[in-house]
Amino acid sequence: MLRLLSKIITTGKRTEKCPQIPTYIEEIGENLKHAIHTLYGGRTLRIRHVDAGSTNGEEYELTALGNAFYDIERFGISFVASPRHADVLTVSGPVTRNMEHALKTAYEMTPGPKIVVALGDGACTGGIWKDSYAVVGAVENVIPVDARIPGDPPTPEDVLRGLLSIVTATRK
Amino acid sequence: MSSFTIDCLFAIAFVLPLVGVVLSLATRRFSWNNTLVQSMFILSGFAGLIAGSYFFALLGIGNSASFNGTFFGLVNIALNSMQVFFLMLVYGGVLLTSLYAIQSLPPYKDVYVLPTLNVASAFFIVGMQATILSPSLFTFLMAWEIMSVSAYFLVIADRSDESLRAGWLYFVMTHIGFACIAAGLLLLAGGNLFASWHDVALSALGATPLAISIAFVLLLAGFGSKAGLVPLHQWLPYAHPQAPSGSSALLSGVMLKVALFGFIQGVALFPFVPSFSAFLVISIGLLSAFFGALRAAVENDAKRVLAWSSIENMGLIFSAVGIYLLVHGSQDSAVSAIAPSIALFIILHTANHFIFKTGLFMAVGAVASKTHTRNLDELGGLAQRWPIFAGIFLALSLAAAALPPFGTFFGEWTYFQTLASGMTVSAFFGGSFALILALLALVGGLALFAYVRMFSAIFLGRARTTHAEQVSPMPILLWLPSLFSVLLSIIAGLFLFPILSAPNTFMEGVTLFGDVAILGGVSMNAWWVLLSVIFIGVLLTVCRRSFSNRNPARITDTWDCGQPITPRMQYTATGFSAPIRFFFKSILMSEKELIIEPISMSNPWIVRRRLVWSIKSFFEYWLYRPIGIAVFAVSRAVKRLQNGVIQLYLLLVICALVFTLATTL
Amino acid sequence: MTPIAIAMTVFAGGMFFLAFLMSSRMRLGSLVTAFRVQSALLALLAIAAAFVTGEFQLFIVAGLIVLIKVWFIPSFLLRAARVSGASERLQSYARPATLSFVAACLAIVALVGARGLLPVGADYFVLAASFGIVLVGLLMLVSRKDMFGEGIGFFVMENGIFTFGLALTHGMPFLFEIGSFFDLLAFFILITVFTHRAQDENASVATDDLRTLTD
Repeated sequence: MLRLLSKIITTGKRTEKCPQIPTYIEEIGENLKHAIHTLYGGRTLRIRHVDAGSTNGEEYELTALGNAFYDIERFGISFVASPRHADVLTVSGPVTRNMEHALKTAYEMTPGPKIVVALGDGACTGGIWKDSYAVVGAVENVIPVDARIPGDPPTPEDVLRGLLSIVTATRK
Repeated sequence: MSSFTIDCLFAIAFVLPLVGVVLSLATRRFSWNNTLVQSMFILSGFAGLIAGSYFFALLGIGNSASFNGTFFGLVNIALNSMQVFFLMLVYGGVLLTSLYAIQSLPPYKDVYVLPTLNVASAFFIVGMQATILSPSLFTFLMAWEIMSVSAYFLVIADRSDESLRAGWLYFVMTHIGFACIAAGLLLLAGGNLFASWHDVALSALGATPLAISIAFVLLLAGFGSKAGLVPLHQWLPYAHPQAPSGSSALLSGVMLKVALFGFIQGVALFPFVPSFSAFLVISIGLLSAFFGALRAAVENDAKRVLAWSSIENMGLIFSAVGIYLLVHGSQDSAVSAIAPSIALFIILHTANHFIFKTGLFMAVGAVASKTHTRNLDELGGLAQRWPIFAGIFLALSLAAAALPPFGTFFGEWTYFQTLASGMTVSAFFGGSFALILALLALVGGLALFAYVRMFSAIFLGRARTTHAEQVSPMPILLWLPSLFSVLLSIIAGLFLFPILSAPNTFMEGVTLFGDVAILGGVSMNAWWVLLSVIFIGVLLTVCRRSFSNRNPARITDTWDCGQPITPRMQYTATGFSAPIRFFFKSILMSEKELIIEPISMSNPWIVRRRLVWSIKSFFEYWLYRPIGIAVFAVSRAVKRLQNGVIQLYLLLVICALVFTLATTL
Repeated sequence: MTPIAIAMTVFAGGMFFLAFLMSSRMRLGSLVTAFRVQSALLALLAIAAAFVTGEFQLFIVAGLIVLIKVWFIPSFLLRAARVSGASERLQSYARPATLSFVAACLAIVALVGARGLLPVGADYFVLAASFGIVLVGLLMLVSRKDMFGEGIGFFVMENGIFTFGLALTHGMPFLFEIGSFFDLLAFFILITVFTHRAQDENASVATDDLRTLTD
């Protein structure tokens, strides 16, 4: 017990100093929040992500968007589990033949109005797997795509900027 | 309509089933045998109902109505209103179930021997009528025996192992009950077996208080066992599901009421009831109600759910009988004012339970006959195949759960309201009525749960097995009697409720459409309730139509996360009742066992998993099993006397003889 | 007491004495002979009762007793015993002396018991004798090990019951007497059949062998 107490006292604070949070996050975030608010009248923008055969790089970046550093949820964006609840469908990876039917079904099940976003190089153009026997190719070969966010994988900043441009474009 | 006509009609109603017996046996080679016999029963029911209606029209409904019939000059029978009321229940039940049996029995002609089944039904009907009509002790006991034994033959009708076991249990328990009834009544009658009821009441005046107490307990045990009161209810959940559906309806809807009638008639002979009697009856009634509702919520066999629900409702009625015994004849006028409202509930609930239980048993029987299964876990989705029938079943379930506009609602409202108003009479009543109300709330909630579960497991969702999927359309006579039950239930609420609450004034026509006032000046108008329900329904439909989203909706399949949807994914009845099972685990003693058997020798990870789930019967485990063990232990000890030496046996006989002589001389 | 009353007392007493003797006899022949004499005395008792009450039917009954109990049953019993090859020597659970002692005690019980019912008189002795015969018959039933002994015990008890009827009511209704005769006949048939079977199966008529029939 005493050992524990002494350890508590002798060990100081080990937390790191918060790194400098880039200002662009706040900037884009505020714009995004404003845009979503005017678009939906206070409701959040709900994103359902479909992994149609990616390297998971895009998923990591999307997950990172939700952590304490970026914290996308304060801007009015949330990720949902069921396509029935989704406003935006983000698709990553070149669509493999196995996932083609599932992607089509998810698209069918999403109620309109919906926005389909192709995330990453593989989804936009097929990437390095283009013309492979195992993939169908770009997402637009399977379902109609409204927007593209290229990159392999796109950085969180790219994703944020991309989402902002999509939302402002939709508003018009 | 003279009293002679009423007499004749009652006699016809009594004799027609016996004619049916002869016809059934005479024409058993023909295919129209069943229809002919059931028509005899229907005619009998009709005659009885007409006779009863004319009786009430002629003599009014009050207690003083009485009638001396002679059945074509053969026997002398005096009828009072209570007897005719219960007779009406019998005839109504016979009418409905015989109508149902015309088309429900022929598909089973390889399982049941139809002519003999109909003979048993005929004797059952005659037995029930005779029990109610009996003018003396001996005829009552004889009629009771006829009724019980013919019910036994109905239970074992399909000769399966389960039926034989259930029939055996029923046979033993009904005779234990018979012994109790006979002992109790003979105690009152002072040993005179051939006394008329009047003589029994006279000789009961001279009985000692101890004899009165013992007689009361015996009568409660005997009639209570037949009515399904805990802890002597053990035979009911096993026996009622095994009989053919029409007979189950009669057993559950009518025979239990005949037992109630017997109890009321028996208690009416007592010059005074023992002091503990009211509390005994109330507690047994409430315990039965709670236990019945609980078990109804967790059973998987549809008919067994209905059997347990019968136990629950009879428990409710008996608890009201107990309260009546408590408040009746009290010196305090505020206390004795509670009695008429309680009596109203007893009569109303008897009639209502008869109506909805008969309808439900016939409906479940129709489902079972078309899908060949009674297991709730195997049915489902039948509302798509039989929409009208699903509506009828829904209406009956609502009636069973005591929701408006059905008659059960008004009966139970009377009970709850009387208890609530009666709480102000004294502190004692306040405390006990509050407790009773709380228990009744629990019982009502469990009953509602049980019926929601049953209805949704059978009709909603999708079919869980192929049994329920491929069903043919239902013949009309299978669902028509249930529809009549629904209508009767509504009519009971609209007409019976006002009429019975003011029996002496209903002929003036005023109270039929007016408010019904009970204790404490609180009143309820059945017509308003019905109209409100209809109005709200119409309003909701109109609002929904007009305010709903005008945008065209796109219809796609259900989102299934990529897995194919199977009907096994929906709630099963077992799963739905899991929270109830969990909460009452100590009472239900449910056991789940996961049995894992390795299949492959080389790889221990390839296993077969089996989940076995069972519920133990509480009273069987805690009451019957210990008694049985004790009896067997005593028999084994006595068996040591059976060493095979004849002379020892003779010596025992001689000792018994000597002992008897010594004590008598 | 009238001569008839004395005669009845003597007959009844004689019957009881014979019963007392029979309780300890272990030879089938002597048992049967004693039973014959006892039945003859019973017939005489019935005739005396007929003289007392003047009912004609008691003569018929006496005749039936002579026919059935003095001639028919004993001779056929002996024949059945001889045919089945059973041993003449009967067995019992207690020594003959003990049985005699118990029979004497039963006589006292019978006297006391009858005293409780009737005051001392002719009828009283006949009643006491009938009680005693019934009790001794029961004793025989309980103490004998083989079927012939038990059969004779039953017949003795039957005699006693008959005497009881004669004592109390001066004859039971005719129908009852006929009934009891048929009862006797039935029992007799049963006994012969059983002894036959027992002898065939177990080579003896001891009832001990029946113990194998229990669980």
